[in-house]
Amino acid sequence: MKEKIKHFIIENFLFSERGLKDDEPLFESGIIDSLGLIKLIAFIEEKFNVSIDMSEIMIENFNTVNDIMETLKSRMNPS
Amino acid sequence: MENLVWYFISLCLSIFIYWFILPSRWRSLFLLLMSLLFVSLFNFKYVLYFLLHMILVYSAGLYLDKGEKKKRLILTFILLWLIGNLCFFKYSELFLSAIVESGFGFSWMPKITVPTLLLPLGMSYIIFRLIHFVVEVYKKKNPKCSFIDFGLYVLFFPTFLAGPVERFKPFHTQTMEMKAPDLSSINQGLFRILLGVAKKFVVADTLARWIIPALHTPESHPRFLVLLFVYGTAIQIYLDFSGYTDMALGVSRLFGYKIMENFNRPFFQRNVAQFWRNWHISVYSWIRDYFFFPFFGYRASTLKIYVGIFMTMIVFMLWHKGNLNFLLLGIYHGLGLVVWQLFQEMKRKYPSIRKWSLRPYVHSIATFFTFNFVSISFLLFYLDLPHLYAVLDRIF
Repeated sequence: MKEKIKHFIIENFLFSERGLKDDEPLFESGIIDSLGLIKLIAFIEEKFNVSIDMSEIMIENFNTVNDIMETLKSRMNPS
Repeated sequence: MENLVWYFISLCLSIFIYWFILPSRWRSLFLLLMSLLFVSLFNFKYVLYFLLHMILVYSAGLYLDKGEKKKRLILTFILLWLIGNLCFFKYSELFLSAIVESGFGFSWMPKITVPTLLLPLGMSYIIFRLIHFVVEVYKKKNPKCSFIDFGLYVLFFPTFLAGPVERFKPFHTQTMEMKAPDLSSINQGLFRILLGVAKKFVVADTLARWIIPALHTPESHPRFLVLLFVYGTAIQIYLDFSGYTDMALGVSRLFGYKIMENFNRPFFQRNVAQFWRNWHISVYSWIRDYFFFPFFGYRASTLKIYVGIFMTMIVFMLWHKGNLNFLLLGIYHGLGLVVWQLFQEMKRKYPSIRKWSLRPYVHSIATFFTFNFVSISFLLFYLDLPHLYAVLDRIF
């Protein structure tokens, strides 16, 4: 799951050969902007068959690859 | 000058009382009273006006936190009330003036003079903090707090007049965890204040006195100099605004609060999207989170998202001022952002464009282009359209 997300980010936003760290801040570093977040969420919902609630669309839930994995896991295994 | 001296003396006295006289449990109340006093210095009616709104929002927050029924209705009412107040004070004079000046009406109608509405100082920022608070309570994201702590967040006097619009959670966390003063924070606070004073009162005001009159007579100056004036305008606006922010952050630091930054090297950004992510960060991110995402960002089509980006810039600019110049600024930068997003799509589709865009020299060109794109538009802060056209005509 993590590698698919990283690949998506690299292909669609980073446009670079360099790797992406799991704890790299995607928004602060300018890799992803607001529109990018929407595209990322659309990708996650379609690829992993989950539904992200509107109340969860916040930068802090998607700021790093680790944050994205946490958000994704919470949607896949709601407690 | 006399006011500044009194402000400085009051500030020093407040800091001394805050840290060395008061027990820690009284600090929030003391700061809130200081903030109310600060507001009352401008107009005592503002205090009553803001207190009314604070009571309304805090009460709504209490219900939204615990209540079960009609929560969405109450939230909607509060939001409409807050936005309605803001729009009334900011834009009603503009609309009324437009109607009167257009001559729309019947000959028997008496001539009317549009009254000047006194926009309560700091209102734009206060309303944004109130909206943020009540929405986050509704989403169950805000911690519980007393009315005093809530009031302090809303009216915190260092950031009252010109922001930043801090988010409640980090501010409240600092209120709860306030420790004894440390020398490093005091030093940083003082440095920030001095930096802000230098940027605003020494450099920005001097540039303004020199550049703005010159821009009104571009034909009197060489072309290259007029271009420098254009760049100088952008730099002047940045120094003026960031200077205020530095002073606000510096004073906040003296009371133990680390407030969010509002600027992050905006003129060194490579594209217009990155520029706006690093200029007036607190308000831009607020409008992104409470306007763009809720109305345009949830499972939206590409067209809707582009419309959303465009509208967000218009709202962002009209929030500053409700006049034609700022509407044009919103349209200009809205279009710029949409074009940038289209370029991003091209990079995704065509590897050759993507490869070219990664070259180091392209980054330098992009930064220079972005600076020019922004600088030209910032003339609208000071010039009406005929004067703007005269400047552009002189340059090009």
